[in-house]
Amino acid sequence: MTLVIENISKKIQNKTVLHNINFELNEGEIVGLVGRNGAGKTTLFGTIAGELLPDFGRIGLNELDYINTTALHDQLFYVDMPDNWLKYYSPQKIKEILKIAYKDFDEDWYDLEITRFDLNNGKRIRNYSKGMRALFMIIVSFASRAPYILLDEPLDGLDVLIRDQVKQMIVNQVIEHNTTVLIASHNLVELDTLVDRILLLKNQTIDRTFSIEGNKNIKKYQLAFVGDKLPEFLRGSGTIIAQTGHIVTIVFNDFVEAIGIKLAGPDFKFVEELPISSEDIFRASFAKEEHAWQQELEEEA
Amino acid sequence: MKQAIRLYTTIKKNQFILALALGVLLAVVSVTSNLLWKNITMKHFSEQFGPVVFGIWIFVGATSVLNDQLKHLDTWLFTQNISRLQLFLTRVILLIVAPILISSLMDIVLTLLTEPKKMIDIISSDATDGVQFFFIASIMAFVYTLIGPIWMKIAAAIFMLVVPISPVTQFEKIDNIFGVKLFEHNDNLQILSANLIILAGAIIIFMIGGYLSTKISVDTVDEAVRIRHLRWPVIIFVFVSMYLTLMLETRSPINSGIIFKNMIIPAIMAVITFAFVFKPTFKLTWDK
Repeated sequence: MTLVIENISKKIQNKTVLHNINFELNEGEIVGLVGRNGAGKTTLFGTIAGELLPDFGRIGLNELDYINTTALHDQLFYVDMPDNWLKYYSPQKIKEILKIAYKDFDEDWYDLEITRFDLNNGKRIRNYSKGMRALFMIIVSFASRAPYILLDEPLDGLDVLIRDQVKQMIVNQVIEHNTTVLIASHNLVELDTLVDRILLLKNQTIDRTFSIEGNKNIKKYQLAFVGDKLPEFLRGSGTIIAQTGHIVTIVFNDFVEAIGIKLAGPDFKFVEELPISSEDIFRASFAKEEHAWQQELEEEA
Repeated sequence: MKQAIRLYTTIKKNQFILALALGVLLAVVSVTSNLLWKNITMKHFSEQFGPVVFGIWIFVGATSVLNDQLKHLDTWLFTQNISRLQLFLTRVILLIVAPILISSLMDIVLTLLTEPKKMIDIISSDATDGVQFFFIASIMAFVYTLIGPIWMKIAAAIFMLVVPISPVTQFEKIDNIFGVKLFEHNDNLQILSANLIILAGAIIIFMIGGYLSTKISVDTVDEAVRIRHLRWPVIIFVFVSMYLTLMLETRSPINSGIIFKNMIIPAIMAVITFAFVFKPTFKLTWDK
């Protein structure tokens, strides 16, 4: 089973928020969705789930039209965060409702997890702490047993210990039930350890899809340059993440042989390749914006 | 459709139980007053029981729909395995049709137990009031579907109740103004015709509301008019309905002065509506 997002476009108040979005979600995958604030991640989730009607494009589940085939809608679970109806009800009442909404709702597992994490079954969700609410959202999402789950900032507000347990829960559920999970998050460090691949939402579209292993031409270096001035080509071909005196950490978005030759030249005293993370790829993808922003700051200073 | 009714009933179970309890309480008050103070103050209470109960229930239902929007329940229901039209119809059935039918039935049963002679009058009164409430509810459903923000929904509902609905539910006014005896309240057949026309009108309005509900996307929830093509028609409607209502209520002979005078308030209302619908920003600057 594959969820196909095909040429989805959406305008909100005459402003294009999504433009020709294309990607597929396959069975048993955990996929990350990243983008800057206001890039349209929540709009994309809302459009896939059916809250928003797309202006153009198709969302399909295999060959079927997902949007217009309402019978398929229990195949996907998504609840808007942070404002949603769940917070006005207790876990007990929510179970009663979701048992009707999702035909495969796993009541036993739901009860077990509510007890395991010591969540008060009779208390309304809005009276929970932020972390407990986030935890409850994950439990309720997987209890639905929907094959597709969309999670918006699921690890937000969780302390380190709970976060580890939740991450383990997500992985276990995906393995056990072959669930497909699409996670929107700003926390790229967390995503690195959880997802199979990441979709980057930029300029209203999916700019690139990447996995850490699959990006051979994105490279990260720490280097020490000779002389007082930073070699000019570095600014043009990479994103400087950190600079302390002559020591520079830089990510090259498109590392080509010519850059390698220059780095091996006499301008540098020391060059070392570092392991790349999603955060580095994210920075590299927004290199131009970051460069312009840095220049602005320098000019202001 | 079955799934939509099951889901919505489960969500609203507690409210339905409370509303039913309120209805039963009113029934007890009605019967008690009827038995104990038959010839004193509560004389007409039993005759009003049905319309009072379904009036209260429909009002509770309308509040509950606003609450759904406030709680973002609508947003979630749009993602469920029920269509937007099914959700609309479910609300019509559970929050409008069921209250009218159940309270009328309660009224009939109570009348049968206490004053069987009044049976025909009660049925006739419940049917007439039921049709009128059904018509008012159809307008409310249309307004709730088309208008985005909650306070605008309430304002629009009040406007509709005060301006275009009241003349429609009082057909005799048309007789007075045009001098044509279209409907006579003494004539049962005329009342039946009037009610059938109102019922047909309500069904048409519900159909339009149902169609519009399929075009509503969550991102327009802050828009005064959620369907872009209907923004100008809404402004024109505000002007025309207000103007016609004022003209119909004018008792003095119509002359050019009255025609223009009656345009002032509708024009102000239309301008206010325009401001909320199109949100124009006026730039005041001396810069060239």
